[in-house]
Amino acid sequence: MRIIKFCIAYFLFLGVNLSYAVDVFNLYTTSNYITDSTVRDFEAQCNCKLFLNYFSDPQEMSAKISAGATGYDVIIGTGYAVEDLYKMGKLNSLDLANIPNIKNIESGFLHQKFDPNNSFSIPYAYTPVFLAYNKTQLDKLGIIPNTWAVIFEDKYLKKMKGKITVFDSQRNVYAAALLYLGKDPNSSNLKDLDLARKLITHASQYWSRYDSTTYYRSLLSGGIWLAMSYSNDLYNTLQDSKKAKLPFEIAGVLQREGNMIELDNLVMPTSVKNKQLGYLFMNTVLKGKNATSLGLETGASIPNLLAIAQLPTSITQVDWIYPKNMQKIFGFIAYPPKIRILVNEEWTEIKMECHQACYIK
Amino acid sequence: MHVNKISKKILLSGILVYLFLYIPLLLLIVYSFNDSRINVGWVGFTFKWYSVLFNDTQLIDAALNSVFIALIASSISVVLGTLAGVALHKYKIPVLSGLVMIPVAAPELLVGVSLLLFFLLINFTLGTASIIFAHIAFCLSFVTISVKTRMHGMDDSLIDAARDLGASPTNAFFKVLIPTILPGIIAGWLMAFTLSLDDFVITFFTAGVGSTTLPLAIYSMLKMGVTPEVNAASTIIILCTLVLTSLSTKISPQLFK
Repeated sequence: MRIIKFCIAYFLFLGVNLSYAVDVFNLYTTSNYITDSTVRDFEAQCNCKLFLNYFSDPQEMSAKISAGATGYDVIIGTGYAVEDLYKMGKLNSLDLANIPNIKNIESGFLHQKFDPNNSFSIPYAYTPVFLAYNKTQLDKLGIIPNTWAVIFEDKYLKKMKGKITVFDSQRNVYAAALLYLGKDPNSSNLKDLDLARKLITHASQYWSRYDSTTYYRSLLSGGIWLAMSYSNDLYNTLQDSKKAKLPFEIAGVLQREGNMIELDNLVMPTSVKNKQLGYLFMNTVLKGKNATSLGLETGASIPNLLAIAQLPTSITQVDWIYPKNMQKIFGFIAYPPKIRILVNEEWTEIKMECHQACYIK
Repeated sequence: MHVNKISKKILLSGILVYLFLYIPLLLLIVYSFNDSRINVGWVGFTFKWYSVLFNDTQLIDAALNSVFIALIASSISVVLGTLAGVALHKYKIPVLSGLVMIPVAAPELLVGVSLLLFFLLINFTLGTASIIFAHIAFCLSFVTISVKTRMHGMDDSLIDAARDLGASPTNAFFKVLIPTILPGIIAGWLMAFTLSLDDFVITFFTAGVGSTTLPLAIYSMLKMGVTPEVNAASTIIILCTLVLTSLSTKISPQLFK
């Protein structure tokens, strides 16, 4: 009986909590993507409690919000995911007059193709996608991985069979192939996509696996020599490898054909309870000191001029964290629905083929 | 002589099974003291991750939330599941027995999304309560199956005998039936508890604001890297389980014979 009473009490408490939750602000993001000092700064200003709600994959988040889940005040999501949400009418338009700190953002990151006037999204942080490699091993082979050719051309692949990983993400692998072919990495032209598919299918027999989450561990343990990589992962790996005294050297390099960045944005879903608090939150995270702490703690690249000025040059001078030549840097644009289905199907087929080939090996 | 040989082989394979089960857990505990963020290879000894963990109120809240949800969901589903299991044994309706299997066999993603759509349809606020209901929905089948299987092995004449000897239906149920199928009920409860504790997909879709569970918190770390803080949290959970199991063997030894 006591348990039942406790349950009833708890449910009542929950109900009360939800209906009077005016002083709670809900952020939807991935873990460790906002620093404690920023949380404290915001809580002091809004006189409220910031709740962090987590998702692991932007597409899962997008699926959940588009199905109609509500209660979130601000979401930090990747470009193509928020673009879809906006088209579905799940995001509020932003009045930039309420976010004065937008002036801190590097102009190159405002006005993205998916949102030219920043009418619904504000850039938060980004991660370039490039190749990380075991310098000691690749030096022996005489390979400099400053071109996407090293993961697509036979003459390189044959020397590194089974030592390469690429992301488990169709967008990133197709973009790399299209860049190598000299095409638009966001191309939805069927001919381009077919060329990319053939290239990937051929190269995939030399790749070890599709991996976007544990590849840096394999780099550290020496099992993988060349990996498609995110800047924050490689940054943390290098910090770690200093202590571990590795028998080899790990490095990263941008590709001369160009690189993609995954840009995460602040957006406000239509379910926001208090727009002013939402604006206050966005304005707070764009402050120089908060953006700096984000860059220091996570290794993510911050498109914030004040942060770049304050961060140590040992970070800001690294080309694969803060690329110099922005002409060669591309963001993702959402595919039209038909193309998305097509690429998804092709991707599944490519992965199946690799599995068969891998088992035969 | 022959018997001895066989029992030695059994002992050996028993030891191997235990090694197989416990070596990963042991490694997980050892690596919670590793002074490395990426946690590949041993770097140095530190208690750092435990202090990080104890200052991480979000993760602790998520863990407590998980345990709370698992306790409530498994307890409710064990009551409902036992009743359903007994009923299914008594009234043999093949369609219903088949339907019980569907939540076990259906892909989690499908169950998660349909529960989300259902909650939105009836305008039910997503939160801890919706997670509990969703967990009951899929744990129920496991308990029912476990109880039903146990009922199959039971001698039905036991109930008749109890009734002949003057027990009321309620008395026969609580004093004869329940004690006989208790191992099935406990197994079902344990299964429901663990399933609820570590479910990710269904929880993700049915969670509302402010109701993060431990699996949600851990999976969402993938993007920024899973640190040994998670090892530290797991170590504490393993220790708690160890203490609870040894306590319960003390309290009711007959359960574990």
